[in-house]
Amino acid sequence: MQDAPTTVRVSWPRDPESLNPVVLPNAFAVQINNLLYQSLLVVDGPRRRYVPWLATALPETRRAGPITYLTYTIRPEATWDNGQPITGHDVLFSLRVLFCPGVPNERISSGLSFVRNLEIDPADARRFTFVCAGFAPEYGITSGDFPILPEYLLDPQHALRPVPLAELTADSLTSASKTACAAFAAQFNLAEKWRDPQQVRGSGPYELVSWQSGQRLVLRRKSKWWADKMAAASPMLAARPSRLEFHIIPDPTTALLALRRGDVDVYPNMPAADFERLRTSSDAARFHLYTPASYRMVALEMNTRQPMLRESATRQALLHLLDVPQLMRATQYGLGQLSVGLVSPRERWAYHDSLPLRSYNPQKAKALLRAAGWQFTGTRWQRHASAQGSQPLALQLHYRAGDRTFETAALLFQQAAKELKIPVSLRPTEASLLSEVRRNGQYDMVFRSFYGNPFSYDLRPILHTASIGLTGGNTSGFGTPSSDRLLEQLAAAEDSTQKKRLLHRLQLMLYEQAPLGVLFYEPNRLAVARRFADVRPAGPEPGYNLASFALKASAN
Amino acid sequence: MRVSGKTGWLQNAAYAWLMALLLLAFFAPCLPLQWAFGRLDVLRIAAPPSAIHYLGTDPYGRDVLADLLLGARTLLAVGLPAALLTSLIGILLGASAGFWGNQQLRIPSVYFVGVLPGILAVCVFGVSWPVVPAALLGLIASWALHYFRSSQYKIVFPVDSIVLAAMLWLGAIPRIILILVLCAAIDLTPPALVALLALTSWPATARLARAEVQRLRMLPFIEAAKVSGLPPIRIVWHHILPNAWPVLRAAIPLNLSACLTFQTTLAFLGLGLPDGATDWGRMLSLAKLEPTAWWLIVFPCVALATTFLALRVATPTHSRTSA
Repeated sequence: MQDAPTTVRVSWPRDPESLNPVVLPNAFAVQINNLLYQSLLVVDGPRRRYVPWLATALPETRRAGPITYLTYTIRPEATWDNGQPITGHDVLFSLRVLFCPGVPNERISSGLSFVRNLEIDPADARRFTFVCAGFAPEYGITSGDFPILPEYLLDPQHALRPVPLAELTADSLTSASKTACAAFAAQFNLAEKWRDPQQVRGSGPYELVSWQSGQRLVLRRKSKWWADKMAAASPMLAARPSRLEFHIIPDPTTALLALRRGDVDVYPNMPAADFERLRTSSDAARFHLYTPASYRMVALEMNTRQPMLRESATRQALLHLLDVPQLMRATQYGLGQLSVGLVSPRERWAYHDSLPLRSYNPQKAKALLRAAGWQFTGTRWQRHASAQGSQPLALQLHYRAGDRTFETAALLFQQAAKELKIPVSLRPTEASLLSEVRRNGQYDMVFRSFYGNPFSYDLRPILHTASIGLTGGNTSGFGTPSSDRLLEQLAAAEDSTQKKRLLHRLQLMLYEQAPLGVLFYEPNRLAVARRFADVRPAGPEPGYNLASFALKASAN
Repeated sequence: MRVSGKTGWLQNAAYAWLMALLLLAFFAPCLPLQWAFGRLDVLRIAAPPSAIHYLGTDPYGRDVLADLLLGARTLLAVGLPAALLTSLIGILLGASAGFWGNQQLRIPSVYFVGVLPGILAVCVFGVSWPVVPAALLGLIASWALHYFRSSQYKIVFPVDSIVLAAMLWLGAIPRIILILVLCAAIDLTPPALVALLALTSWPATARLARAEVQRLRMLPFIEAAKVSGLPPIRIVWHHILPNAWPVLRAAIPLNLSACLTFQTTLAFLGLGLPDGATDWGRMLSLAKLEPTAWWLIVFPCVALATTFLALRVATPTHSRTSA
């Protein structure tokens, strides 16, 4: 059911970069993807759990020896825009795309590596079963958390149909299958395809109207959406605003001004200073202000492929140059939560609270540098490198330009390093360029954000060696056979006790190896124009449910 | 024509400010400041002026007074060489165009032959080390050809048209757009910024120099020098430039003012020097992070305005007097 026409305008600091549902380079692309496409299950942010979306219910799980069967049924009302029903064949097609070689799907497919095959019920095409290797409690949610893609739009020639999914998941393609995959990938990877409103269409409630990179992205509510018939079945099936506009405003001050002037309605992830200014201003009455604890963390990532940063002792030393409590005071105004690693301290069962928080300690940093073979000459740190003679310790530090938290962190780090006579040159870089720099490994250190969630601890996309590469998420280049083994064990852990034990081992390993240092978890400072209700602020990204926004009765 | 200098307290005040700026910038590291350069005081972010931070702090907790002094160093380290280079390029090109015009400069063809290896090397290898030996080879070849007088043929070099075309071209493209494009293409180091400012700012000085030299070359004593067979370079160096200097020297403070303005504008736009170099323009741009922090606008603005005013007052004016 659609309400009166409503436009919601959101301020974004950067572009989604790509709308390809398989690539999803950042959190903004994920947000758009969830408005255009649907998966079997979806995160209900305020309730912090997965709920059925395209599926009628969470999967039925059955185990038979080393194999696990997960059976889903798609809602009978679910159809594509052309009226065709969404069936198991579309799920099968989506899985083929996610495992198709040549498609940049490493990030998303690594989370589904347990899938071996998909069996469609011959009596009911809407009912199908995932055949999975092994068992882990997360299979029940991760198996339903990928976009279901329309075959009729993306592969009208059915190039992928002859390719058995079992061949794709086992990576044992015949030459005919390889040819078919190559032909499909060539079409699928065309950049212009993912800017075309006729192609970027899923079963979601919205369709793309326009996208001017770096300026604005506009979505429109479909006039007929299959879930219109299911009024109030689930908050996740609500899609009230008739039009969504995402305005790219990289400068926080301009974004705040736009909010106060009423040019945008939603400003998520506001800088702490701007949020405080708004909270204490006379304009505060015009906005709902929320600060749900998020799963977004600020981290210092190090490129372990750089010769200077290969030794863990060097990386540990550099992390001791960060005065995180002071940084939090300066940038978060008391909000935020310190952490020893990638697990949020809010998840007490998984968080390794025996590990001490890394402190600001220049003396310890010096000792660690010496342990890594660096010698202080009086003016600089250097060590003997057989190939290049002496190697000085001089670092470049990248961060997203215009981000006050990163800039303050970078300046503090530079100041601490300067006291130790370690030259650090700052490289504030535009967001999409920074993504490219990280993907290409052209950096020493970078301040960045990681987006976590409380549901899954499959960290292979950002830490496994298989995820190293231009399309992978492991941009630090970290990885050893033992870390890979541990990540795989963690992904396949069968119960929470084993998972907890493995998570503690992983946190300890990351603490010692220090490919990245998590500084703190940020709250999501969210401002929404008061004329909107049903914001549903939440911890998991994006931190609010745009589709559920409704005009308050008094604002109508 | 004679140059008349302003006198009085205003000019003295201007000189005093400029001298103080120069001294403060030069001796800034030795000053007994309460808060060190670039040091962050994260407990006092965007704090107003106080006994600890006399001029307050910026949104990152840096002392505004220390940053103003450090900014003066940056400003002079880039702006001064850029202004001198701008004046040099402008005077040389303008004087050449004004003295030789389009017909008077004749260059032996062998010199053009001599630059060919260098051009070829640039085409093949780009701007890299093989260009140096190629250019040297070309120079030696052209010298040898000239020495043995193998060719007496001279090419008329239309220096006036070329300089005017360059001035027209630079004037046709808004300077800020030209610099923004160049900034995107190159990594801005201090020497690169100096070169960028100089290479885009010389036309005004060149225009002044060209007009003055064109006036001077018609005077009888220059005609006499030509008739007596003095080499053109000597005429320019010993007779033209000394007589044009009273006019041309007025361009130097104006160029300094222009370079400082542009440098500050670039820094304000976030396109100035990299690596957190402190700059008055960058200080002003930080004010948008804390719109209520008046001290972030007032102090850099006062420093900038006073400097530009002082440069304007210190610029010698000239007036024509009939004999």
